[in-house]
Amino acid sequence: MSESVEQLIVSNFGVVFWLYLGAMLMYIAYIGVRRRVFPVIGLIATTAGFTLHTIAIVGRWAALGRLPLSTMYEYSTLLAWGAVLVLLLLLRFTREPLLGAAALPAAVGLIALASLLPARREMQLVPALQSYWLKIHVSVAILAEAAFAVACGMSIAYLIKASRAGMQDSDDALSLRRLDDITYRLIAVGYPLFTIGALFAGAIWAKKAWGTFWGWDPKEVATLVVWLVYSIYLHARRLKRWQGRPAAVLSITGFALVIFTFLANYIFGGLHSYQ
Amino acid sequence: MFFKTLESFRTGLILFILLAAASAISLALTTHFPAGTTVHDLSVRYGETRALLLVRLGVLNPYSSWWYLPLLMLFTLNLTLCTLRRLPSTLRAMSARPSPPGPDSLSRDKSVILTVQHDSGTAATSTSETLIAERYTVSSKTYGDGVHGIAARKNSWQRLGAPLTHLGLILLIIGGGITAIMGFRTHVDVSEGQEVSVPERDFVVRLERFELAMNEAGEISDYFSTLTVVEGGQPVLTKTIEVNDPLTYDGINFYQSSYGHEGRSFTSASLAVEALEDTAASPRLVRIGLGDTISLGGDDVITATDFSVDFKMDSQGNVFSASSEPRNPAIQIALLRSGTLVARTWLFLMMPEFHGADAFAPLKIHFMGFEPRYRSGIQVTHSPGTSIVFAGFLFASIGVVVALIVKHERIMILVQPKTSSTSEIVWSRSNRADWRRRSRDVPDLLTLIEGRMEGKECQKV
Repeated sequence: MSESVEQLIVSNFGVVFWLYLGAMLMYIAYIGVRRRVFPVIGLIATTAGFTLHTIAIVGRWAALGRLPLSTMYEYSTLLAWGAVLVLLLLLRFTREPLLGAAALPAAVGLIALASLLPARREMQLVPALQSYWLKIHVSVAILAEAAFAVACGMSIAYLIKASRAGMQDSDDALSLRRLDDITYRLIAVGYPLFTIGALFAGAIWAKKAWGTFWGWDPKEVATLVVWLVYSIYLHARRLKRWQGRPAAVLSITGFALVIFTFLANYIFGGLHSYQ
Repeated sequence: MFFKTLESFRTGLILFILLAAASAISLALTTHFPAGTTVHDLSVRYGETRALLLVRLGVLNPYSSWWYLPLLMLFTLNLTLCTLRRLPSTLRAMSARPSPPGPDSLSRDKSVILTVQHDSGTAATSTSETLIAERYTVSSKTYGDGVHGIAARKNSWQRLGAPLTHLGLILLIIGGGITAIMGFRTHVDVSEGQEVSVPERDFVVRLERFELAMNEAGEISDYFSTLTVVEGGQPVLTKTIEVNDPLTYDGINFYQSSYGHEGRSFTSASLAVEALEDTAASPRLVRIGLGDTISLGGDDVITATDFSVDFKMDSQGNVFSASSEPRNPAIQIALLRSGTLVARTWLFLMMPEFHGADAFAPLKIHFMGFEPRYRSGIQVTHSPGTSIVFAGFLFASIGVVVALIVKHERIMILVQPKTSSTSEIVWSRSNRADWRRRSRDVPDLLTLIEGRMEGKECQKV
């Protein structure tokens, strides 16, 4: 790939960042001033950002000749992309523009995180990564974590709204109950993907590559902890005491651990330390 | 009482939390005390008493400690009991026909109410027919005053998702346990031509060839081992394995897991020989193999007599290689003049001025580099629980999708006369409000019911 194309893709990410940030500000402005123009601009900016984002990812894919999901940079970029995808679907289904304000900070944060990570692309994949399981394991895990990212945004919005309203649920379009419900739906979609993609596909691949399903590798255990937190979230919902605020805290904890697990490559080493 | 606690849902939740905490603590411990930390290391760091206490607490291998494994087992037991206890009522609820709501049993606040221009009998029939056409299981009951109660249900097999997931997870843990108890896993470093004997089996496996593949930039991109299974002295199977593509024979798996330098051997080494008196002359470069003899002109010959890729010497003065990494490559060179040994000494790649460099005076010999000989790191495993684990993956994967993605719909409807010619349909969903739309919106099904009644009207005309 020529330098200019490379340059274009990298600068593309800059534009994507500003578009998402602008969209986020539009949605946040809509919280204060209910004028239709804000979410309309927000949606246009998000869609434009998402389109450019997709082009950049596909461009990198074509340039590398492999799916760009092997380095930390590629992963966080894709995670941000997934979060925006989830948000766009959510906006389409709920027709609730306020969700943009809750979900876009996650995407903006992830792009900012990606910009801190090395974007080098001339990298030899270690043999263990040269497998179609890479595509299954990582892409499904990314979708799951994207859903968790948006759920985390919803939960933060929930806590902010709840502390403002003193837990008195409002009757407006985006009531606490509805926020809680949307968070649950996102986690209910993310959880099976995470279970199958991050844990099971990972274990099956580990069996093929390293000879064992489960080797107590730091990243495996960290992923198990994430899975346990979301398992607790799903089960605890059945108990009245755990609904609302505790559920939101669990959802935020879950995604904080996802990010921790991701960055833990720098701390733990182990078999998953691909930087 | 104890049994009740053991099988309760709340206990399960507490065990979930404890397991998450224990895993996080173990993770921190393995980071703080990396694999290979010994009791000795601990006593150096913390003193003997504390070190012993730490070992008893299981800090060196938390995942097999007295607090982690039993917790995992307790969790499995709770999961099993909890699932079994719920299963009969789940199955009953699935197979029983839904029971229709009685008059005035639905809260009007939480229901969607539709007024239609038909008598309640027609409205009730249309409602039932629409629901049946939409693949709902429907049961209805007629009360006095033209009130009809209708209950409808769809995808009630969704309830099987949770127990199926739990069954899958239990199988995973059982399968893992079987492999942990009855299987084995060993790592062997094999040189070309060497045979590996397999525990509990009569065959051996020979490494025929080990190869590295390089990419254009000269980085190692892959590595391969060609293995032959030898049974009763006869080769029965040959396969080239690589990472992600193991050899399986008679329940034993051979995984390519690593490679390393041969500790005591190399392919070729390069030496620079210079004459100390003649500083003007450039040094002469020679390539030498282990055991090779090379003439330096005149009566002088040199031989490479020994090698170590990670030079270490034990207390008896025996040289060994501390690892299979080229951390301190050293070559032993002997200089013979007219057939008699003049000097023999070790030369170090990374310490060119170390002792011995002058031992060959008036010559000076430098160890410049070497082409390594590699050996293959192979993981030999026997995992008898594998098929159970795979069954677990299958069940849990299907189960978790069914439990969380499939929507079990339950609808309660009361159709009651409003005036003589109109009636109302009071529609209540027993699962949570449809998250996608504002809850006051008329559900799609009600639109379908209206459509069906309009259709009837046309037929009558």
